[in-house]
Amino acid sequence: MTNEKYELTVACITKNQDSIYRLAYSYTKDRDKAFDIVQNTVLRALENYERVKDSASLRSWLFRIAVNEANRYVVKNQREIPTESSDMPEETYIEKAYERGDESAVYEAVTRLPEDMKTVVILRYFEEMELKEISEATGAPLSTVKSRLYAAHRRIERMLKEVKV
Amino acid sequence: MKIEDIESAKKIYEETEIPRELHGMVSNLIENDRKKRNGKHGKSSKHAEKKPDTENVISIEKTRRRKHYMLKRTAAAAAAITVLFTAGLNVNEAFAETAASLPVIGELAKVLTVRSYHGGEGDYNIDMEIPAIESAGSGAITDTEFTDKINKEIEKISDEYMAQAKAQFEDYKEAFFATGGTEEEWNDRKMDIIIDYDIKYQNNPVLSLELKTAKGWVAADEERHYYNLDLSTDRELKLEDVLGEDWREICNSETDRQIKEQIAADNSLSYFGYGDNELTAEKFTTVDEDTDFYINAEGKVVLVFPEYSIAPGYMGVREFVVGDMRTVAE
Repeated sequence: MTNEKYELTVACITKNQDSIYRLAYSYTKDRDKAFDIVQNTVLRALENYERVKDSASLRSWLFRIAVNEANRYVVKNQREIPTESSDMPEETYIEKAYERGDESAVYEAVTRLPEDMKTVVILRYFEEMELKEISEATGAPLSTVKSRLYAAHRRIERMLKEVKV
Repeated sequence: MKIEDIESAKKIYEETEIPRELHGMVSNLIENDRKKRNGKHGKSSKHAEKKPDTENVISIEKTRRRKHYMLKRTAAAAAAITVLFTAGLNVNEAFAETAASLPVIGELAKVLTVRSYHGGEGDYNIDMEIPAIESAGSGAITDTEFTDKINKEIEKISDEYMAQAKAQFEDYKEAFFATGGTEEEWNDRKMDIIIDYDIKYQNNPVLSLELKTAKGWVAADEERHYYNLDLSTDRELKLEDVLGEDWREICNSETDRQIKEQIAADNSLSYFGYGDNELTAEKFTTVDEDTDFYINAEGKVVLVFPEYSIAPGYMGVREFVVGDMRTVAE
């Protein structure tokens, strides 16, 4: 007899592999490193699928693993990659936003958000997850998800203003 | 941030190139895991190792293409339906809900008319626009539990006002005829009942909504209710939130100053305890947590004193702009 839960997990992985890769890439900006994150996510999911209690939360559980993996990557590489905004060469980004035209300005701003805000924005708007699902996927309480999303809005708006000045 | 901005950002995100090797890698990982598991259970999985034959591949391709086509058609149909629903926005709640679930990004919530009625009904002329706060669909941050609570309250106030107004008018009518009034004298008198709302301020995350109820017959009166909401935290704002620690002092000194200024400039104005009324009525002393206020279009805090609270009835509802709203959340 086939293990239904296992098959559901496999199906969920197959269905969401592109999304996980995109999420990973938004963290790493590097294809190989994004590959690593996807690989670890898949392995961990297959290893631990029995722990998922409700198959309805399979997707958010899978994203939770991916977010954790991505965060692990960020922590590991913090010394190498400047993630503090003070280290960011501001002008370069302004130029970049202009070069690529206004429509990419929001995307640029999203990628420059701190990791926790970026995750919430990506899951909410790009992956179109429900807030509750995001709460499950990030392990943060719903209220925190909301305030992060709100803070992200504010931050993006501010960044856009900076660009437009 | 506008919808188009998020949508174009989403498009860029979706255009993140997926390396061709990704799917191969993932399916390898899965197949290896499957093999490992089956090995553990002492079984071999022929199925997993079997490569799909050409015929199968072709049929999969076909299905995929068909699905894609279906998807496109459905999207077009959905768009057409959307237009119809938007046109029916204020007609009923189901429509309003559907419309509110359209993606609106950068907006935390919106205010819609959920019940609307204009016209005569027996002894009454009714002008009714009952609002509801809808969380703004897929871009919403706002909890429906919070808005539901407010909406229920608005509905309750409206319904009770309507019932109370009608009962009052019935009593009046009854008394009129009981005390010898004639049909001719009555002359088809009607009572005006007005329930309306006004969005005073809406700038994320703050929404300031006014619900106004009024009735007019032999006398007219007006009641106002205010909802000042911080939609990022799902709570009602207090004066302290918008003015800071010194809210009491700010409100009191500003109200006092403006009352004096007003009566000095126009002697037809009158406030309890000021000027000529100095000795005859109790003067305005202080605001408290329950003092009504709203945020005006310029982002200023406006205090609202109901009829008869600080001034004679003919003065109506009094408003005082007391200062700029403090930034509520960051």
